[in-house]
Amino acid sequence: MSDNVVVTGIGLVTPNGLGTEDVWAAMLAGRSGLSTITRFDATRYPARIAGEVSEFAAEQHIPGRLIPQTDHMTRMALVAAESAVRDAKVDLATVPEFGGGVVTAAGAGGFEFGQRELESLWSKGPEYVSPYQSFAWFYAVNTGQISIRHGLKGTAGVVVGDQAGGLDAVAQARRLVRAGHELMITGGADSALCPWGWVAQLANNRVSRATEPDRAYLPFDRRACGYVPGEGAAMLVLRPAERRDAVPGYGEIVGHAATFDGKAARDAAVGVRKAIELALADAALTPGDVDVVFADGSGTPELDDSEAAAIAEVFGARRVPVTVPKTMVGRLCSAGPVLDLALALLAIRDGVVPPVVNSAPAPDHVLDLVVGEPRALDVRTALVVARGYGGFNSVMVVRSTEG
Amino acid sequence: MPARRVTIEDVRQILVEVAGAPDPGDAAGGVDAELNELGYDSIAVLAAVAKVERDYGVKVDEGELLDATTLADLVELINAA
Amino acid sequence: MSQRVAVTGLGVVAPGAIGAADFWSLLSEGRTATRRITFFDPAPFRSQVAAEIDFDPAAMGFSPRELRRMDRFAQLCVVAAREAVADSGADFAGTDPFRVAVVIGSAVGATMSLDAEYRIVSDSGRSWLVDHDYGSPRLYEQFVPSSVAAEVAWLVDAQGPVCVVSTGCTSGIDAVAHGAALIREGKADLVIAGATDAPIAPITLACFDAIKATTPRNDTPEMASRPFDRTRNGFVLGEGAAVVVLESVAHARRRGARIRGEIAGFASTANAYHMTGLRKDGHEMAHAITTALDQARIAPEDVDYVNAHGSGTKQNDRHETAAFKKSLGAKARDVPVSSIKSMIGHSLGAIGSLEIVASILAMEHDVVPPTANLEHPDPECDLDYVPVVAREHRTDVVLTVGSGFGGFQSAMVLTSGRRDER
Repeated sequence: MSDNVVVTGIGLVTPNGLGTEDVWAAMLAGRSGLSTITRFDATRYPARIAGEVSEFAAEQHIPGRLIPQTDHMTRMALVAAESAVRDAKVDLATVPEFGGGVVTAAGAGGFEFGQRELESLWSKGPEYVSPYQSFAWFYAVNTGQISIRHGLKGTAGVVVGDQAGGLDAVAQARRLVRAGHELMITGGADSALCPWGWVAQLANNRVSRATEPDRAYLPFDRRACGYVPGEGAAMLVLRPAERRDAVPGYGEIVGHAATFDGKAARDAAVGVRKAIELALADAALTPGDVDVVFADGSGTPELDDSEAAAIAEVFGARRVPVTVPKTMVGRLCSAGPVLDLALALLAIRDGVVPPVVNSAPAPDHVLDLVVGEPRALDVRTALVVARGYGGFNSVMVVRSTEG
Repeated sequence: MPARRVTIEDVRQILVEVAGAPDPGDAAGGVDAELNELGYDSIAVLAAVAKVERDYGVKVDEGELLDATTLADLVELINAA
Repeated sequence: MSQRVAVTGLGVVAPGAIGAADFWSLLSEGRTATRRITFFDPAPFRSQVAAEIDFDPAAMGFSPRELRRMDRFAQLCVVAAREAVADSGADFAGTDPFRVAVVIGSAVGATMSLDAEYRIVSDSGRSWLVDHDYGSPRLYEQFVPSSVAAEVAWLVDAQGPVCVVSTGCTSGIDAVAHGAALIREGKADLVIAGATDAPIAPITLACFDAIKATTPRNDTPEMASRPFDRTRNGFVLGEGAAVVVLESVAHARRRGARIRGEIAGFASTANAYHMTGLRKDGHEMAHAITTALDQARIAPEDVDYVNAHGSGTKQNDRHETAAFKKSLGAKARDVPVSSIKSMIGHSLGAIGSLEIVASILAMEHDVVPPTANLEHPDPECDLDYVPVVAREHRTDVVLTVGSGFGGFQSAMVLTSGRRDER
C-alpha cells in the first residue's frame, strides 16, 4: 500500500454556510457569519459577537432519536461526516469490516448539553440528570456517534489540542491510512455558545470585546483586539491514493508536524516556525513550492506578530500569499483548521484563494495578505497553520493530485 | 403504585420526550411492540423510567427492568411499582 | 525499518498508592482501595463508593499559583510524570526539545473543577445566564483539557508534538500507543506518555447513576468492585494517573538505560453498535487482540498474562470473556486473567495506563496480580481470573485490553525487558 493519502470527501457546517459548495461560495463572496449572539442573552457579558450556525435544523438531517442524546456540536459533526461520505461517492459496504475508522478532534465536548445537566443536578438533584449525559458531554462522543452511524469498525481516535487538535486528528487519520485503513472519516466539531461555555471562553482574555461584528476579529491588523469564537464542523474522508473510487480527490495530504512552545520560549515564533519547517520536510518540499498559506490568525497582536515573523522567516517577507478566511466565521476550535484545510483543497480545485475580511493590515506588513477580495491563483500546494491555546502548533501541507 | 395508573400512551409520550420520536419507518407499535424495534435502547428505557419515577413519585424495580422488552412490559412494571 | 519501543520509566499515582513501588505492593498484596466517598456527601447518589486517592497537593511541592491553575487531574498527572522522568534517568535537558513529545490520555479532563466552577457561576444552578464575574480566571484551562499535556511538557521543556488523546475509557492505552507510534516513526527520541483522570465529582456520579453503571453496593465499599463475580453489579469509580517514558530500544541501549518492558503491539477497533452497549460475542475486541498480537508477532500460546478490562459490569465481564475465547482459542483457558479494577476501581481514561504499568511490574516480578473480591465466580465467566491472591508466574508477554463508551476496544501487547535474553 502506498503512502499517498488523498482527501476524497469534504463536509462542512459553518456560520456562513451549510454544505461544501454553499460555504465555498460564501467564502469567495466574503460573506461573514459573525453577528451578535442570538442563542442566549449576551447583553450582560463583556463580549457579544460570535459565529453562530443559525440556519441549521438538526431534525432535517439526523434521526429523531439522536436528538435527545446529542449536543448541538455532535449534530453538526454527524451532518458534516455524512456529507463528506456522500461527497466521496464511496459505498461503505465495500470497505472491509475493520478497514474504515474515525478520528476526530474535540475542544470542549458537548458543553451546552453539559450546562443543562449541571443545571438539573444542582437546581433539582442527581435523579434529574439525563442518562445521555454519560456520553453526550465527553470528548470522544463525535468519534463514537460517527462510527456507529456509518458502521465503521476500524480504529477510533480522538485528540484534544484546542485549535491545533484539528490538524493533529487529520494527521492521525493519515497515519492510520498509511498503516492499512482503506478509509478514514476525520475532522473536528465544536460549539460552546451557551452561557457556561461563553464564560469559560471569556476567561482566556483573548475573546474580542468589540461590539460591531466587522470590527471584532482583525488578525494582522493594528486594531486587532482578540478573536471571535465560532461554532461548526468540518469533516474529511481520507483514502489511500489507489482506492479513491470514482472521484479524483481534492488533493493529497503530504506533510504534517506539531510542536509546542516551551514555557520559557522568549521568541514565540520559534515553535510555529519549526512546525512549518518540519511539515515541509515531512512533505519533502521547500518553501518555494508553497503557493498559499492559510494562517492561524489568532487576532491578538503578539500572537499575530509571532506567526507573521515565522511565516516571513521561512518563506521570505511578502513572498507567499497568506489568507485567514476564518475572519468570516470566527475561530471554530477543533473544526477551525480542518475548515482551512478544506478551503485550501477547494482553492487548489478552483484556482482561487478566499480572502481575509475586515482586517486592514498596514501597507508594509511583512505578509502578503489576501485582503478583502478573493485572489485568482494557480494553487498546487497549500500550507495550513493552526495554533491552540497554551502553545500548541500544528501545520499541514496539502498538494494537488494532478501531476 | 402510582397515584393514577400509567397508560401505554403516557409511556409512549414520555419515551418520545426523553429519547426522541421513532422514525416513521419503524414498527407501527401496538402494546406488544418491542422497544428495540421502536428504536428505544436500554438507555432510552432508563431515561423514561427516571422521568416516570420523578413525575409519579414511584420507584421501579431495577432488577426487572432488563426483562421489560415491550411497551406493555414497561407499563406493567411501572404500575406494579 | 520501524523501531522497537522501550519503556524506560514508570510513574504512578493510584488509590492507595503513590509511586510505582507502593502501587506494586498494593496490587501484589491484593489490597482494595475502594471506600465510601469522602470528597463530598454521597448520600443523594445511588452509588456512594469510589477509589479515592489520599493526595495532598501542597505536600507534592506545587506552588499556590500552580494549584490555582491545575485541576486535580493535572496535578495527579504531573506527579506521575515527575516520577517517570526521574525513573527513566533520561537526559531530557540534553535532548533536542523538538525531539521530545508528550501524549496524555484523559476521558473527562477537568471535570471536578468544571462541576465546582459551574456551581459558583450559576448560583447552584439557579441562573442559566451564569455570572462571569464569579468565574475563575483559569476556567479556559479547564474548558479545554489539552492544558494537562502542556503542564507535563513544561516539566521537561518538551517542544515536539504535544497532545491529549481522549478516547474515553481506552484513552490510557491509546495515548501510550500514540506515543509509541511517534517513536516507531522516528518523530521523537523521547516520549512522555500516559493518562490521568480525576472524575469523582457529583456530575460524574449522577450520570453513571442514571445509566446504573456504577455499583450500589454501599454497605461494603471495600468489597464493592467485584469483576467476574456472580454478585457484581456495576463498577466502582476511581481516579489516578500513570505515566511512562518511551524511547527506541536502540536509544535506550545507547544510554545504558534499564528497559522495563516493550510496547510490542497495539490495535483498536470500534463496535459501531452502541455508545454504551456491547454485543455479547466480543467480536470487535477479539479483532483488536488478534491484530495487536500479529503486530507483535506473538502467538496466542505465548501470552503469559491477560490484564483484563474487568470493570465489574455484567455486560463487560461476559463480553470480554467471549473476546478472550475468540482471540486466544484454547490458550484462553490456560492463561491467568485478572482485573486490577477490583482493587483501584475504574479511573476512566487513566486506567489503561495504570494497567500498562501494572503489566510491566507483573513481568518484572513474575507475579500476576489478583482479582480481588472474586468469591463466587459467574458461571458464564469461566476463565482463570486469579481470585483474591496474587500468583507467582513466569511472565514475559502481557496482553492488556480496554473497552469504553463510544464502542471503543483497545488491545496492547507488552513484552518484558529481558526479551532478548530468552
